[in-house]
Amino acid sequence: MTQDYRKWPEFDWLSGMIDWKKAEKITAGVDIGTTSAQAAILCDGQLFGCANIRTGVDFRKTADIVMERALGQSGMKTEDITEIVSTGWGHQNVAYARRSLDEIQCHAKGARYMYGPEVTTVVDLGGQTTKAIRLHSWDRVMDFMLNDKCATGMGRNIEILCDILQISIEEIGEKSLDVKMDPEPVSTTCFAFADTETIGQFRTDFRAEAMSPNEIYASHLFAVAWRILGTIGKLQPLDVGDITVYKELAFTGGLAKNPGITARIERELGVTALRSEYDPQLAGAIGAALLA
Amino acid sequence: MASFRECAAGRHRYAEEWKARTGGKVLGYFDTYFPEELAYAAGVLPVRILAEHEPDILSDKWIYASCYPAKDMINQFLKGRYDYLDGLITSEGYCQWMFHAYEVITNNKPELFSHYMFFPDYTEASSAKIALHSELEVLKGRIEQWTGKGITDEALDNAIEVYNTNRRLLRKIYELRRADRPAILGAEAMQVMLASQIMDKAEMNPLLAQYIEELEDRAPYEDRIRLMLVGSETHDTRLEELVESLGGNVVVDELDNGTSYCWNEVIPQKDRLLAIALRYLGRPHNPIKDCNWLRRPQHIFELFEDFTVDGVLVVKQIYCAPHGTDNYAVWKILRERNVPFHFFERDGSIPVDETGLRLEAFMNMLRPGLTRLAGWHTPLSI
Amino acid sequence: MKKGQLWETRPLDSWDKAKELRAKWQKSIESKEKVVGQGNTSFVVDWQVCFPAITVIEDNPAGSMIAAKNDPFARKSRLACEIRGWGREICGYHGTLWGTQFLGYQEDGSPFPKRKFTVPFPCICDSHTKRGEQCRAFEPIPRWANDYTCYIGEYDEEREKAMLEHRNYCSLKMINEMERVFDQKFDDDKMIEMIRAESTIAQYRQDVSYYMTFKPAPLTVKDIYSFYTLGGLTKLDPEETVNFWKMFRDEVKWRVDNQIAGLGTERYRWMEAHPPSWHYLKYYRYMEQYGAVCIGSQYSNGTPMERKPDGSLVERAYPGFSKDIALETREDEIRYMTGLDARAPHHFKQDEYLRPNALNEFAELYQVDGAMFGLWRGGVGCNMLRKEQAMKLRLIGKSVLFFEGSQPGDRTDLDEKRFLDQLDGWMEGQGLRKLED
Repeated sequence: MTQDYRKWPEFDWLSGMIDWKKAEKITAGVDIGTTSAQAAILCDGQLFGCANIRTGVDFRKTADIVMERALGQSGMKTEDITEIVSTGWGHQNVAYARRSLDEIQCHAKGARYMYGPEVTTVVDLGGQTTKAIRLHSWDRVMDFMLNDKCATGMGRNIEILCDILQISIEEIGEKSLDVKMDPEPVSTTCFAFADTETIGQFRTDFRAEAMSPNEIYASHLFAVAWRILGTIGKLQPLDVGDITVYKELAFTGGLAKNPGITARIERELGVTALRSEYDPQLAGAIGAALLA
Repeated sequence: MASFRECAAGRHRYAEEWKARTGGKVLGYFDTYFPEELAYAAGVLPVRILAEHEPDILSDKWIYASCYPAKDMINQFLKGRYDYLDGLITSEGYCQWMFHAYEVITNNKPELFSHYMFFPDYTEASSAKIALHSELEVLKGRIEQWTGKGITDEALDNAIEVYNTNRRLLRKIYELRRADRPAILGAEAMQVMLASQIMDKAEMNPLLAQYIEELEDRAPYEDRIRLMLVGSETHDTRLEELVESLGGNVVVDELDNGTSYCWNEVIPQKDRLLAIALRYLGRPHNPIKDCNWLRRPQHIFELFEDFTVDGVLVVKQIYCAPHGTDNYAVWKILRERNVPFHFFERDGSIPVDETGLRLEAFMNMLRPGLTRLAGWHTPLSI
Repeated sequence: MKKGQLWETRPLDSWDKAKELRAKWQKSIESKEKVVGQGNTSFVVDWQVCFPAITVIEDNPAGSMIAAKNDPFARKSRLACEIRGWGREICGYHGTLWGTQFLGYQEDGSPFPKRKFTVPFPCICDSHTKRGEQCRAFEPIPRWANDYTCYIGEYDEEREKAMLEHRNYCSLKMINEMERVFDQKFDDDKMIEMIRAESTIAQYRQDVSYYMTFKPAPLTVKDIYSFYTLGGLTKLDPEETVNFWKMFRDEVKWRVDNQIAGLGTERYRWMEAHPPSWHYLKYYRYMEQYGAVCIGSQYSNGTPMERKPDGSLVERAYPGFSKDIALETREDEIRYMTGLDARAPHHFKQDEYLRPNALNEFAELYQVDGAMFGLWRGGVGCNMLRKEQAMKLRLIGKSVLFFEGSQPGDRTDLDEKRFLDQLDGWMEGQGLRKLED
């Protein structure tokens, strides 16, 4: 039987503390990404319900399911929600949303909600794009960068890699950190070539000492982290000439749960990213709900 | 306008018809450092080689390149799209990719008249004038030999006048775009620019003058985010169109085949070749020719201020080494002067969703409020 | 005797002297009080040594050296460069060195010597054309640009004159201005001595290059790369360098006369073109397992080939080194330094650009069986005409292997295992087997 190595847990959650019927304003955000979809419902600015599921081939159906799961057994219906904003790759497929907003604004807003108002740099490690966002001390986006073409730094690649290497996506990050030192990273220009190179590393080789599986994971994730560093680094510095200060850094998106990526970025930048009780994948949806 | 748009879109048809109509020779050129006046004075139609975007099955055999325009140009020549050309010139104004394309094409099409013209990189050196003047002499001689007739001073004066008139008219369009609420958007203006690199300018000038008159009477568009396009030269207007579909407008550019193509004129003097040399040495330069004094970043900033631009799009062709090496200087000056800009790489095609996300987020960054409405691909009503 | 050995082989006697010269040079640069600038010294003659305390560092060798010695540091440097706006497509040499400037320290942890002047030197390569700018990011240092004029086609006296005038003007201005700005006297006598020395060394170099055409090859490309900077990038006493090159040339000639091979198992000869992957030079040794020797390239062997009217193929003479040129004024020196012809200059690169059959001529003269070419994803200049040249080589029966990578000074996209697999396939496809098998 084939195991689904790329599988990560879906979830939904409802607040037991909030009576939505007493709320003055109910807003919702729906983030339909290429890999995962989230919905978040806020009652007077407080998170009331949320859901995180895998995006299917039918974005419209995904949008319906994710909202249905976020509403759960609360008794709330989409008609009860004052304003719904959609975002993400499939934002135009959210039939019940009246407005849509770009992911950059949504992730920035969501990150400040989840990690605190001191956040100055948000790095969304998404399925298809890496977004690095720099914020003013006030609530505006100062600058943002998306990964360049052919970049390896995307979540989708890690999913494919896990299938190839037959390692669970939830384990690969930790295992990759269990090495004495990071080996040379694989190619960082094209993830297809990166994967080919990684497969080559697994081959028992008469020419050189074979790498351990953990070293191979490290080699690949290091390459991914390196590409992401290139994207973060291009952001407008907080002040001219000071390009290496990335304090108050928040990771969002699915890869934010992969320590093999985040720990390496933290190590290279010399900072410890902020932590949050919220699931990092929810940032886009929460941000959209806040901007509704 | 229909004629300019048609000309830019069906770029080969115009030259083919011109050739059939006049019996004249058509000369392809790769970059805007080629002094077209010399060819024009000999009765030759200079036509800029532009890339298309179509399946490419031919160029890989000849070139290992990641540069789509260079590959596509080879592809088009091998497919016979440019069979109407009688000659091909490179004036070393762009990059090695283009030079490589020139080499491959001329090796494949030995029947073409071809010429390599040197253009100084250290354009400010006083000796650069002498070197370029000499190169123009050589080019003039080669064209005379090819066409079998001499280029007279009168013909040169006429060519200079025709080209200067064209430049003035093209700049007039930029002047109209400078308005708070311009009556012409970026894509339409760029189509005119592209047409000007294909058409016989003596034919184009009256049409252009009439077109400008119509523009002056046209109702202005609503307020839009004002953007500026900087970077690798463009071969179509897809990016500008995408910007417009999202509520923005490219009001000015700093592209080799945009403002830089028409920004300065030839100041006539007795030594016609020196006059032409000075015009090309003194034009706003691309990164390859701006390798010493870094004048380009300041020029970009001046355009930014002059056209009351909200934000700058720095868009580089992927694997474009000249722009890849010049970005630092451009970013630095824009950052120091607090100019918002967004950088990305473009390829042959513009991926609508991915580029749309960038553009929308950038424009939202520039707007006072987040006002984007649902309807991703729906152009705003005009 | 080693398995598969066909020829006698022995180490070069010149090694000890070469190491001594190299150590001497290292000491001289460490002790010399100097103004460090960035720029190009790739003229025929190295002008900088004629200033008492000026050192020009070229970014190509410095960048490739970092890449060869320390991959992690080179990677970090390139990232420092990339995040400031330079594209990933720029030449790996430049990306590495420029990034190091921004890191502020060198590979050994010592502070990066900030440049006090720069000599931008446009070149037919795009990345090279844009060098000399980044070091101005820190302070407004003086700069003097040069230009590299060239043309192709028939010899044209007027064209020559105008182009050389432009070159000379720029360089003369640079030397004169440097004297003023740094208050240092340019030693014209030394320059003349350098020119005389260089013209002699060039002849010796050309001889060594010629001896590589013999079977078995007296050296391998590894030896050539070890020696070819002596007197060039490593600035040494002119007389001592001339003597060294004479000794080296004589030794190589002796090896040819006595059939002493660089690789005792030589049974297959292959050539390259342009810079090798400096970060992965092991492939030379790997190929030697098959008895395949790399005899070099136009890049390593210096001078291009040309066919004489009688059909014979010879190395093209350095036109700039005719002995009877007058050397009386500084202008004479500069003219000599910047080269005496502008038409399709003898420099290896332009020759290949302008003549797709240049490599065929090289291949024939050096009796190669095959050629291996790197296709560099971002190395614009290094890919020029490579595919066309391969087609032409195949027409004369030479086998050609392509491999892909990022840049000659950047290992990012080089999949080493795949590369070695390709080498196995290439060799085995031509009936060769590893000698230890």
